[in-house]
Amino acid sequence: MTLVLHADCVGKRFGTRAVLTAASMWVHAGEIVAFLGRNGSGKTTLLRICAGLLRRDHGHLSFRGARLERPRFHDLARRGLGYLPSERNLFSSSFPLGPQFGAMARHTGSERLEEVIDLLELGGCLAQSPLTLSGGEQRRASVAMTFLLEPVCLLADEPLRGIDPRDQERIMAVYRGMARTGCAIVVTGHQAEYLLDEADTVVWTTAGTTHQMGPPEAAREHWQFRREFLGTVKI
Amino acid sequence: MGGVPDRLFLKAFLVRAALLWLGIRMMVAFVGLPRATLLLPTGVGVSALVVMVTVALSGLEYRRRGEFLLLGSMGCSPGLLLGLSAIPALPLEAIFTTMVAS
Repeated sequence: MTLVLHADCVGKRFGTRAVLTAASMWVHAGEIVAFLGRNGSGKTTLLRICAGLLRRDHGHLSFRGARLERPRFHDLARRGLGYLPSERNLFSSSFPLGPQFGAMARHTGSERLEEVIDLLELGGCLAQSPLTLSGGEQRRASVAMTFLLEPVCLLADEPLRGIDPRDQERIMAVYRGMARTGCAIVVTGHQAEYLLDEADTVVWTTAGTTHQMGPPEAAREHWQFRREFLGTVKI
Repeated sequence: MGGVPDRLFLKAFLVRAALLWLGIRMMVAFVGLPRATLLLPTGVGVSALVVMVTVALSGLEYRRRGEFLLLGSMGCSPGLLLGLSAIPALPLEAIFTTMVAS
């Protein structure tokens, strides 16, 4: 498998707080990596560093074989890196979703617009402005926007947050489809059980570092990981 | 992919910049209201300032709305977007200055 994105020993400090001390992560073409960790463990920070939205304090990054010294988001996007932020990723204007999708497909030359609308069941929302959509619909629409970019690598920051199980399934079905066509995908989130079912590899971040857990079965066997994400807490 | 965003996003972006220019010009007039001579201040310095404030506010506005990620995903650089937001302000400012002068 081709290595698409590699972050090695990345560190990032905000003021006196070291969010990441030595975080590493890599993803191959066609692979789905579940990137798990508690709130504040640095998942979003690492994703934003990899996307060129934040500058790292130390460490190395490479994308598609090229080392990145001072990556910039729009440059990486042109080279095939997609980033789905945890907030809405739509043009927040009054014009409806359908034309927005059309504009994105025109811009990227994607011919998969109808496919993604079907997959994410967005047909009923096309005439609506993004401002009138529900949280789940906005999330699915944001996922559709990144799908239309047809990225080589997608960094999805909590795509399943705050949405119902059926929408979660739709979104993960889209990601599985993207991975089948060779897209490397990193998904963060707190839905550990669900993400373990969907991912090929698991990365666990805690205390500023990352642990490569390997396949989901290995993560399930790891007692600390199990206690953190899969165990039950008696109160 | 890359460069200037699709015409739909571009149109919305330019309309917003034009509205911001209008708002800034109205504010300048409002500030000058107590002093009648400054009601519609013009001149190269004032025009340059109005254009610069329009560009700065456009940048802040598209950041506030979180659209820089969407437009960045399309390969559009922040510098280009700031440059684009000056496009409506420049001719509008020129027209306005000419009208006031005549």
